[in-house]
Amino acid sequence: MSMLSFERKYRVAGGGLIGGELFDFWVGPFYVGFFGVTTAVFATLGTALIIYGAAIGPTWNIWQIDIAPPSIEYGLGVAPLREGGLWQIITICAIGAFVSWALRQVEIARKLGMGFHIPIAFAFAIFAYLSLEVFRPIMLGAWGHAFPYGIFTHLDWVSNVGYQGLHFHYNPAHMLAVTCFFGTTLMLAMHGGVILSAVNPPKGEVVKHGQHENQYFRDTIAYSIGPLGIHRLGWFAAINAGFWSAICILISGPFWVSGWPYFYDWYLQLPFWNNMGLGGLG
Amino acid sequence: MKPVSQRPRSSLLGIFLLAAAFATLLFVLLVPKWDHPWDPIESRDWGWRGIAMNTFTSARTRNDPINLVPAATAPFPDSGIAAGEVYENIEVLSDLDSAQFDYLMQAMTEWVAPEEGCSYCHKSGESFASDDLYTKQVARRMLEMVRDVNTNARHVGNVGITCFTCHRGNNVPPKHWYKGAPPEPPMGGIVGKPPPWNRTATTMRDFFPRAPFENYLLDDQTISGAQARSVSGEVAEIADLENIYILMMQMSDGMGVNCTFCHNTRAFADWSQSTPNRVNAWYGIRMSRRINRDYLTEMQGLFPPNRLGPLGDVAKVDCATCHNGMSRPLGGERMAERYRGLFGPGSAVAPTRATAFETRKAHQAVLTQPGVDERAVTLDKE
Repeated sequence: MSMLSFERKYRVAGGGLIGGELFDFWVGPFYVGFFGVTTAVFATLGTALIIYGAAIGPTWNIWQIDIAPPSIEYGLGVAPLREGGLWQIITICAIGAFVSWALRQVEIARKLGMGFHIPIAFAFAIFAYLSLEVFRPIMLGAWGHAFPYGIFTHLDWVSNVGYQGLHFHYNPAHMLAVTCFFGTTLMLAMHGGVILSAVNPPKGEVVKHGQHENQYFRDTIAYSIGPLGIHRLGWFAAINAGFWSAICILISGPFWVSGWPYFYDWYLQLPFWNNMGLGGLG
Repeated sequence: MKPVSQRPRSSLLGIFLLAAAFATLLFVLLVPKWDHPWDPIESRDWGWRGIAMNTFTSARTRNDPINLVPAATAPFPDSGIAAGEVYENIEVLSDLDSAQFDYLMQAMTEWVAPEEGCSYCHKSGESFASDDLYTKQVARRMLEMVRDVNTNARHVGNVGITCFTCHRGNNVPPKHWYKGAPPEPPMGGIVGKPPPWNRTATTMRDFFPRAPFENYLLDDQTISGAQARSVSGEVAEIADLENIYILMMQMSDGMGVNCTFCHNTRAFADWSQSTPNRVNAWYGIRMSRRINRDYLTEMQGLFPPNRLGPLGDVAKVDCATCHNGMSRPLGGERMAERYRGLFGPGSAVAPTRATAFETRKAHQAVLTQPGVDERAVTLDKE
């Protein structure tokens, strides 16, 4: 397969974490590596098992295919294949594939002498997945608390877990996560907007450069974090979104079984309200 | 290049911010009453596996002292004489064996007035027959209510209720509700409740307006339209939706469960996706309504002013009054069956009712109860 003119200089040998030179090659434009192989194995096996699960299930309707975890009675034990065992094996495959992919990103970063920003960011997504499918079920004592692999059923799961807390928006960690999610998209969208307008000037004007970006935001919102800083800020908000969404689900159930609105009762129960001599507001 | 001027690499602001962050963290970890996975958290699923229709309990919710079942005293052997022949002025329990009558009276004292004793209802120094005290008149009507509920209300199944189910050793059941004042001066503070509620509230629930309880637990309003037209067939006004939500919050909190105990939340209104618990809850709402209307409100005139709410109404029941944070009051303890006097005529044996409620695999039960279709239910109001 042909290579782009600049591609050759990125094809650096070495940097692998494991496997030596055995897997240090490219297939077309794709680096393989030991973890590329394990990713392929886990992903293929997991996908094949999902298809098998659909085949022994009641429907081929893509929306309704459902690979569900065992019911709560099985606790943290192993379930028969048709009663959640399939879900357990597929989950192992998914974790294997995700972690392999992150380690492959580490290898590529080492080859290119980059920082580990990409695998670290992806690791937060994996942490969120593990929180949902492994850590929280372990803390609650049953795999049955994990979400199912099915388009409609996992939406049911999300809805029902939200209503387990009566009103999930009162979950303080959920508030942080949502703020970071919207924060990172807003900030990076604003950045993207100014870049697009800078490099696509109206007829007769020249393409603008970095100082224009700074100038634009200093004029409009009084501050510019800078062309490099915006990417750091966006990255920081993004991994915090993943981190706090993991925390928000980890505390829902294991650390708080009541409705989230009642979480704030501590404020009403502070011991000093009645000693402050406040009159009623009527 | 000129070297950057040397500045100490610490700042008061930084230290202050770190300290503030640490203090916030400590506060968040220590002040709210967190549950812990090592309690352990116990859970149960009510729906198909994997869709998270689960309820949870923790040590905090399981070990509320209000839910301790009192030790039963040894039963009295029958005397063979009816209470009506031994005592005067007996209206409700005259046919009951007098020994069983005494046994019940003794228990009622422990359930409702353990500190005041018999004299809470029977004026000291006067005959037991005297109806001088309002408490005795109320107690008589309450006995009729319990017998009615145990005989006719299918919500209580074959477990039945006693005075203790609500009273828990108090003159007034700890969980009750009054009508709220309209949100205007001089009575109204915020959301229609009079001061000093605004600084004595200990839970968010104290801030809820009382309209939902009046609408659904006193009046005949039907709960419907709480979801998109495509699911429920109709859409309620936004004010009604808030009321429905508040009533349901009360229900969840009062029973120590959450929405998924009864509903698959993707389609709240759809009975075919709901658990059998919802059928039971449907009967429970109607039972509360009947208790509030036919018994409590009806005898409002008997109560002295200090027992009435800010608007002069009698204390009324909601789900929490009996349930006290458990999905089955007192964990389903069959206290009532020891007391024959708590069952009305024709029901010496409590009605037995097989429901999926008692089974572990509730989701496998088939809904065969009549009137599970909401529209049919609406037409079939009692």
